[in-house]
Amino acid sequence: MIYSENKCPEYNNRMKTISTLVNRVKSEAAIGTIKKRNLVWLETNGCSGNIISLLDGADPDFQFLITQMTYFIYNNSLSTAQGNQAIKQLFSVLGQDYILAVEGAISTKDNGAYNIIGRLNGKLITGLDAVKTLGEGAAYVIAVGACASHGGVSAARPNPTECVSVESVLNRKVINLPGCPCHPDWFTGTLAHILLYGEPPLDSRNRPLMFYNITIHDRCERRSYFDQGIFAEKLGDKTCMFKIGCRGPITRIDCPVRQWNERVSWPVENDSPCIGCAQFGFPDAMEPFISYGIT
Amino acid sequence: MNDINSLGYFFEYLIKDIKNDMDKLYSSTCKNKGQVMDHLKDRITMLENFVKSINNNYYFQVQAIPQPNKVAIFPQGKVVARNNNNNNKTFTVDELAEFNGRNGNPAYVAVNGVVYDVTNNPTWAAATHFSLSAGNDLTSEFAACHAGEPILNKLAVVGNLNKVV
Repeated sequence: MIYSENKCPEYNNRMKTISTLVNRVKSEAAIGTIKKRNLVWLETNGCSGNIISLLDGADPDFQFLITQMTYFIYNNSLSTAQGNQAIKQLFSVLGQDYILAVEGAISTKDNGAYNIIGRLNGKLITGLDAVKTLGEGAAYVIAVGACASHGGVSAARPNPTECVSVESVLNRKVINLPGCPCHPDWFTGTLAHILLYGEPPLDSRNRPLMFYNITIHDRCERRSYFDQGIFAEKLGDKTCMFKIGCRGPITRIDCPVRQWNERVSWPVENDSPCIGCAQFGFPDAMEPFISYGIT
Repeated sequence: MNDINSLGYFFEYLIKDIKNDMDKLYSSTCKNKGQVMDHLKDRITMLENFVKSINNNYYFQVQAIPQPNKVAIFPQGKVVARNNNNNNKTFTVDELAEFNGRNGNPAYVAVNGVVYDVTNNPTWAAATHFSLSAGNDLTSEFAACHAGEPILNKLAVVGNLNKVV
């Protein structure tokens, strides 16, 4: 694992969550007690940021995920097939066992006409069509990122294409992994848990507790400054950024421990306040991102 | 401890802290100058806010003052602006609007006719909370999101809201 041992046992345990699960997947797969499952990663109304984030994953990396954990059936950005052939590949899983991951919100205005993901035998396929068709038959549906989980940036005011979350258009449970983007570990860990044990324990908004059970503020490296009332007045100050608008206290996720880009850093360490990208309602409800002159 | 004594201890600790920080900065062995300067700046800001608030004609209550003989690395003296009768002030809607957490004013919100101080509440960063701003009557918003949750009793009451002027 690429992480340094911390003196805090809780930090160490959190950092080992993914490796523990993935190593278990490896050993169980080797003796045939678990099998790889079909994975469809569908992009709807979004920016493809979550698949890009997943490609940045490490320990395990993306290659491990698509070779050892899953049969990676389809992704809009990574598919080598094109046109009709690609869409046929997408729907080829219908009737089989598969896990559906969706990134992007679901555009609903004019029956989803503003988010066309492809064409099948001449007929335009909307993101709404694809999610409804694939969502009902999937063993699990995972909403990856802010847009899929609650509308996110795609549903920000004035929300011209009337974007909504994945669970809003399906009559079934959806596991939500909010974040802009979703951390590779949050997805891979959730997938590993599904392969080994089924659905992971979830909170009241269907977020996996193993990642979303603490707030940024709970584990922030600058927490002591908050407790002592020592606040940054501007970006670059090395103290608590509460007075300039940090949303860490209302954002449930483990960024301070897990960190980003192969676990080397995270926003607060780089003097940027948390903007609440993993909180429901982001971005509108998390604004303003920066404020000055606060008492 | 009455308010005068509290203020006395508060200033004593502030000044002691400032002197300590200056001594550390003069010392050639000080290895964490940035942190010490941050601390010094914070203490000066506390004094500054106090003076600003005096100009706004508010009395003060000092919270969480360390005991005189207790060693505190970061004394937690915080000055919070209060009305002059603790929590019995009546605010009009216009008066409440001034307490928006900006320009030296604390951040107050009203729920069900009671005015609460959210200046240093962690969920109210920059005097805002899920697109809501301090200085407003948020009764309906509170009912929509937090009905039945026992969270208001964690906030300091600073008065009542009189909607009829």
